[in-house]
Amino acid sequence: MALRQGRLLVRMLAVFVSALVFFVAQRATPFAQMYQPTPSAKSTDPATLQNLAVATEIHKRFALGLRALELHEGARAAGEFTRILALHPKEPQGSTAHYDLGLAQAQLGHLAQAQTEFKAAIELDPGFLAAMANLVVVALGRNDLAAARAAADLFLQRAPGSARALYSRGLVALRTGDVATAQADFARLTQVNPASATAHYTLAVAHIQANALAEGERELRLALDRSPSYAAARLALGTVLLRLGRRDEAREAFELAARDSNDPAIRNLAVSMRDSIAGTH
Amino acid sequence: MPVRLFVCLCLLLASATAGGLGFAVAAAPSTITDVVLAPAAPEMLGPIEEAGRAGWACVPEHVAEAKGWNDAHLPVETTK
Repeated sequence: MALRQGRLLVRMLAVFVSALVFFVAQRATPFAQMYQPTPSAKSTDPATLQNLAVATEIHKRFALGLRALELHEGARAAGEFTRILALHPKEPQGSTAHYDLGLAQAQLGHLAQAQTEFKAAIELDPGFLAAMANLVVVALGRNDLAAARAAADLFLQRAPGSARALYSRGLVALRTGDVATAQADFARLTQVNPASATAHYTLAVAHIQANALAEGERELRLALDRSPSYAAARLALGTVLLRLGRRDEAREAFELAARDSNDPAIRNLAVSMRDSIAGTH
Repeated sequence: MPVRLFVCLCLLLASATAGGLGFAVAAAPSTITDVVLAPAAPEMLGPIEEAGRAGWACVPEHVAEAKGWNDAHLPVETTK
């Protein structure tokens, strides 16, 4: 009797365990799919599979291209991003690929191609500030001042408070002789960054170019207050003082510039100018 | 030509050249400022990942729109 009851209990337990295993297996499959690290196709539709293959290739090539950029392997990076663009990626991958391809071309010294790629990035994404910033730098590097000015104007229009936009536009304006714009842009920079010696220095250069020597002297002294060993500012101050006829002060400025400079060109120039004043005394 | 005369002529020529150069340097400081002391162009901003510039971690885009001099990675030339 007891044996019969025991066998019945075992059979009931086996049925229960089987039912439990079946139930858990049914519920576990969706959870397993939720935690899968790589999405797997749920379809055998050719178009869906093709899209998945393209997306995977774009993803992998981005990783390879960025790694190549990091290693300064411009040719390899350019190959990866060119291939990505050939796959006609959607945004933001398209503009990003153009941007990164621009960097690769710049690494290779192909500034014209870099300029083209940054422009393409902006065409796809009109608010792409980093692309605008790099476009200005590349255009300046090619001395394509018209393109640099157009890019700088657009950059400043899109980001009116951007320090880089103000600086870039001011720099282009200096190079094209538009000193009024340079003075205005650099003045805005000093208002937002009053503690920056270089900000005051750049404004001083604009003032000097505009022949506003008193204002130039003021800004150079502000730069030197913030950084007393700023040899470039000291040298510029010497040239201003010389133009104002204050030769002894100029000579002292050149002496200090020669003493403080880490740049051979500035040091040699300071020495030459100091000695030229001594020679004509 | 006597050696002494030749040496004197060379010295005279060297002095005239140095004096002329010094005069040129002293007389054209604006040109020198423009060329040698011109502010440097900023460095290019770095690569952007696949997710694009709109991501919160996109450093190049943040640098491009930064208002502060150092945040914008603008040149700091005070060591020149």
